[in-house]
Amino acid sequence: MSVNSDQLIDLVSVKIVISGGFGVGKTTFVGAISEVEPLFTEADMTDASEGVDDRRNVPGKVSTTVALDFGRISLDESLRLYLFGTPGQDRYAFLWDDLVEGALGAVILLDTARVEDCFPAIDYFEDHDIPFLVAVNLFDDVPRFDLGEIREALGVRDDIPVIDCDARDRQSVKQVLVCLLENVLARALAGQNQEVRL
Amino acid sequence: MIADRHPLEPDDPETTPVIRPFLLTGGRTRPAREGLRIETLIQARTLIPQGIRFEARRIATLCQRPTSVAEISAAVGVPIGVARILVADLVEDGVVTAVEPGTLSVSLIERIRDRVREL
Ligand SMILES: Nc1nc2c(ncn2[C@@H]2O[C@H](COP(=O)(O)OP(=O)(O)OP(=O)(O)O)[C@@H](O)[C@H]2O)c(=O)[nH]1
Ligand SMILES: [Mg+2]
Repeated sequence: MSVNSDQLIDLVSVKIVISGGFGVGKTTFVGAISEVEPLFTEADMTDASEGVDDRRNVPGKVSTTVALDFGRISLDESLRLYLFGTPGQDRYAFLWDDLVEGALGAVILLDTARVEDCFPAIDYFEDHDIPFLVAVNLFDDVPRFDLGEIREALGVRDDIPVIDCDARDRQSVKQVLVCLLENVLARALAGQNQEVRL
Repeated sequence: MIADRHPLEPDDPETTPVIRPFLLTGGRTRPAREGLRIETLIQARTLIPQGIRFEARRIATLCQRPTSVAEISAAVGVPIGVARILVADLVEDGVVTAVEPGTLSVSLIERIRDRVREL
């Protein structure tokens, strides 16, 4: 039996990107809400893609793999939300465009012990005009800061939410995602065009 | 100075296992078609044709139900770049189709938000 193409049109997949510095809780965040194991891999092609034109040489070249966070949430029969974590290390920056293209928005996790680690992510999403928020992950052994102070330290626009989160807690993760979606919605409503191309 | 609670340093290239992922693609590192995102859903078009083998068959079988490129990558055990090339070939051959991304309307965003809230 062949598939009715009308069925395909109804099916929608969207994605949200989870970003932030090394060890900030990205994998924990995705795992707290995903219905599947949060992992897949990408090859580090920095070696393999040198001299791609000489195809005969490529299979012989070796590359390392990088584990990427991956989560799936079936929202209803025809709507699927995927979460993808950005790889924390600078040497994988080349993967970001690929992960982020078409994203609904991004969550940037922040560890107050190392606030500056999230600057590259903030710069990236600002430059690419992708809706994002900053979620301050509450580690046990770190002093709490006032969210206003953190916002000031980050220098983000007023319309960018800066909120608390516990990446281990499903309800908290849910609230972060809802907050991001409210922001995406507000942007869509404020825009002249009420439709954005995915 | 700020204490580092994560003593692990980025992977040392000397100790990270190396693989030869692009053997499966005949050395190609670019897909036969653009536009396959990691979240793009792939759906098998028809019954799986006779004569397709190994990874291609595995992908076609998986995609009897709509499956994202990322999930295909994980299930077949190949990096996403390789999965994308294999899937693109199957799209070209008419074995599977890729669900085109639609438009992100206000009502769709509201639906996503409401569903997430209900989780
Ligand atoms: N107390 C506390 N610990 C957390 C929280 N989130 C994550 N952790 C812990 O912090 C450590 C790092 O979390 P991960 O989720 O692996 O962080 P990551 O961002 O995926 O790390 P990399 O992928 O290595 O960059 C783990 O030991 C977690 O259990 C949190 O909200 N509170
Ligand atoms: Mg991780």
